[in-house]
Order: sequence, then C-alpha cells, then structure tokens
Amino acid sequence: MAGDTFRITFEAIGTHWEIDITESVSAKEISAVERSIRRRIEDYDMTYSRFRNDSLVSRIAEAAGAYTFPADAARLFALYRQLYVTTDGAVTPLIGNLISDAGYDAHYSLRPLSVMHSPKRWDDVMVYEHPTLITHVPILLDFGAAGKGYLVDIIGELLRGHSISSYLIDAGGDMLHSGSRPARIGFENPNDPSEVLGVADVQNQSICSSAGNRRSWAGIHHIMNPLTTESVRDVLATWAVAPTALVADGIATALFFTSAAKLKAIFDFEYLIVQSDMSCEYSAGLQAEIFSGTSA
Amino acid sequence: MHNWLTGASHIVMMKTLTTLALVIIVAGARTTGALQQSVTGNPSGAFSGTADRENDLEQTNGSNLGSVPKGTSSGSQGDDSPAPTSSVEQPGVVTDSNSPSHVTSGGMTTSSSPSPTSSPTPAPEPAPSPQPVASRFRDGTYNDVGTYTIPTGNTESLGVTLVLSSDVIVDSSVTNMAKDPRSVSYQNDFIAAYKSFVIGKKIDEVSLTKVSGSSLTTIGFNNATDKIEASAKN
Repeated sequence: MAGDTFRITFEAIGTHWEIDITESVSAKEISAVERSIRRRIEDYDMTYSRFRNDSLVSRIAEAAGAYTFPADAARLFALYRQLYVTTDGAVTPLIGNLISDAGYDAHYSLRPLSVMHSPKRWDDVMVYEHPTLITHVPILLDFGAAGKGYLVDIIGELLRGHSISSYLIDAGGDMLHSGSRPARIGFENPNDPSEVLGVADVQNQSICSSAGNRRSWAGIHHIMNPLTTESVRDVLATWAVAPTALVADGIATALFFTSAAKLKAIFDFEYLIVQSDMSCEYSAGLQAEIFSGTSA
Repeated sequence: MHNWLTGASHIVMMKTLTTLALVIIVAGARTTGALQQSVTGNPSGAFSGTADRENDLEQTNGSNLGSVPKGTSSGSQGDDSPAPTSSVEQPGVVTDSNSPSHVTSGGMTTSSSPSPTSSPTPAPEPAPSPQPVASRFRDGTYNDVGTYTIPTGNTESLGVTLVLSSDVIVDSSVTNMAKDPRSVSYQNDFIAAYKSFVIGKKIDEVSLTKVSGSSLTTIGFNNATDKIEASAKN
C-alpha cells in the first residue's frame, strides 16, 4: 500500500470487512469514522437481518401487517423490484422462507425440510409503497441478493460525508472503490482460494462476486432457484462490475438465473461468469485480464 | 509426401477459421454501414459479407467467444498450413480485399500455449460508451460454414452457429463436417476445446490489490458447519 493507507477491519453482518482509506486522515478522524460506520451497520442490520429476532424482518416474519421501513429502503426495494421483474421472479426478497426451510435458517440448523415450497409471488403477498410495506401473510424476507452491496454503498456515502473520497471498501469480497488510483482486483478461484482466475481494473465503481460453493450443506447451496426449489448447478461463480455495489451485488446474483443479455437491457454493468466446467463468458467491456487455457 | 498438421496447429487453424466465420457472420449481421447495405442478414441461412474491421468486432462482440482472441494479430507460420477461406458468397456483395490481417490468406493466429486472451486493446477511434441502447446486430441465430484445404488437396468444412441477443453472443456451437477421418478427429478435438476455459494462477504470482470472492463470507455459517462436523464425528 503506497502512501498513506489506513485499514479499518471488523466483522459485521456475518462477514469480514476491510476498509482501506488511501488518503491522509488523522487518527482522531479514523476513530470517529469507525464509530460512525459501526453505528450505521448496526442500524442496517436491525432492519434487514433475518438472523436476529429483534429485527424488522423478524417481526414481519411473525405476522401480517403494515410495517414502516427506514429511508434507505426505497432504493433497495426499487432495485429488487427491477430484478424481480427482469429475472421473472428468480431473484426475489421472498426467497427467505425457501432458504430457511432448506436449512439456512436463523439458527443455521442446516437441516432441510422434506417439503420445500416455491416463494410466493410478490404481488400476491405484499405491497411496498415507501416507506410502508403491507403484508397479507407472515413472510420471511431475505435481502442477501443485494443487501450487502447496498450497505457497502451506504458506507461509501458515509465516508464521503467525512470528506474521505479515496477508499476501497471490501465486505467479504464485495467492493466499492473511490479515488484516482485504480485497484487491481483478482477473481478468486472458487475451487481454490489461493488462486485467481484473472484480474480486473476497478476504479470509482463496484465489483461484487457471487458463488454457490462456499455456503453449502446437504447437497444444497444458498443460491436457490425459487422456481425449482433447487440450488443452481451449472454456474459456479459470477462477478459484476457496476457504478454502485447495490447493482453489482444484485446482478452478480441474477446472473445465476438470467442471461447477461436480458439483464444488460435494463442495467449498466460488466460481468464474468464461470461455469462448473470452468468455461467462462464475459462482457466485451470488462476491464480485466482473464487467465485462460484451451482445455479443461 | 504430405505432412499432416499436428493436432495443436490444426486446432490453431480451427480457431482462425472460426474467427473468420465469426467475422463474416457478424459482418453480415450489421444493420448499419455503407458497405453492408446489400447484405440482408439472413438469420437462418449461410451468407458472407465483407470482413469488418477488427476493432468494430471487438466493440460489438458482446461476450467472449473462446475462439476469438482479442487483439491478436497474424504471425507468419513457416509450415505448410493451409489458408482458411470461406466458400460461401452472396451475390452482389463486394469482397473487401483489405480484410483485417487475421483473416487474410497465409495469416494465422499463433497460440502455442495458454495465454491471456482478453486484455482489451484500445480501438483506434473512440468506442461508443456501453449503455443499454438499440442493438447494433439483429437478434437471431446465424450459421456459416468455413472451408479449408488439407494437405491431400481436399476441402474440409466446419460449421459455426452463433446466437445473438442484444448484441451478446448467448450461445455458440461448432459442427463437425469433416470427411477425412483425420480431419474428423482434429475437428472433434477443436469442438471439445474451443470454448474458453479459465485457469487459476497463484495469488503471489499476480500483482493484486485485493481478491474478490466468497471465501470470507458468513462466519456464522462456517461456525455452524464446523459444529455440525464436530458433533457428527464420533
């Protein structure tokens, strides 16, 4: 790390965060920033986490009703709605019940139920008109598809609010870069974390990754197709590069279910998809070097 | 005495041929461009057109097809590899004799070992900024047949099919149309290998700021699996 770089690290929302600030900042400022970040993440977690029983999401899972979301929910729900429509329901915040039934529940029981149901259709069970969500039945929402990315964007905004504009936020592999020196980000080999499959040049944008094989149990992994109630098998890992982490994270998930072409008609992003046979596909505009061979 | 191409150089030739076929298909699919006005881009038939400039191809090729190495240039080969040519022509189309170097006769891409194929090279003119705009190429399935001459003097064929959607190649396939058993075998090798496969490099061999992947997610999840594993052992 050349020049002044301060790294703030902590665990939050079940993942390891590293925030590199690549400009000169006083130790006092760094402390203040770190406190701000932790408070903001706690607020976010209290709203959107299905892993704590004091969250808004947990209350919504207990009973139908009208619930008030915080201001940040507008953009998150808007992005989910766009993804829901574009992926024909494959990406949905209503995936919570299915993942939980499959075993990835709040207690990490990892025991799948014998019968698993497809998630309900959005318009059948809830209406979101910011800031109010009206639900007709208890539902377990899960914002894993884009929620971490959105929080990364929010933390970026927080840093800018502290007049910090040169940083690289890394929340367990989902990243947001800001500043004049681009970052070289490796695509981790999902089959071997000591290797990378290529390197991307990332500047003033986000790169997010999605892979099924890191959270798997009983022959299931966490990226589940709601239409088949099974885990996606042919796509091994995806990466998306977009102006915001909200979009990059959402698209990285959506690429497991929907073609890049279909998504590119609506969203602005570049991508890399690696299949289980290690063949790959990537966008023409992806600023990256991919390491490739001619045979598996 | 005829020298058979080695398997590796046959594969190289296949790649070039597919590159040629790709260029021709994509050229034929263009919906704009003065040179192309007489080409109607028939999604289901074979056709040819003038070969587009290499950089246009890079700009408009929405996804990577393993057989189209970006930024490659032809080298001279010294061996008696035959030059790939396309046998299909559409009446009324002027064939551009100044086609890009990677499709002229005698030119062939060299790729004797796996190498990074994807470093995007800058276009000589500003590329349009990527944004969701109207497609430059008509959606559809495009077929073409490339032919080449083997040392026996006979002609062999290789079929290429591309499916374009919103300027992205969403699928591709190659069909073995060879007649000589050796060509059948080489084409089979190529078909199995032409899609680009990623390989890993050790992190310390690559200069990186950070790694993007999923290995550090869900500490809670990993704790749970550890506990389950521990309790399952007896």
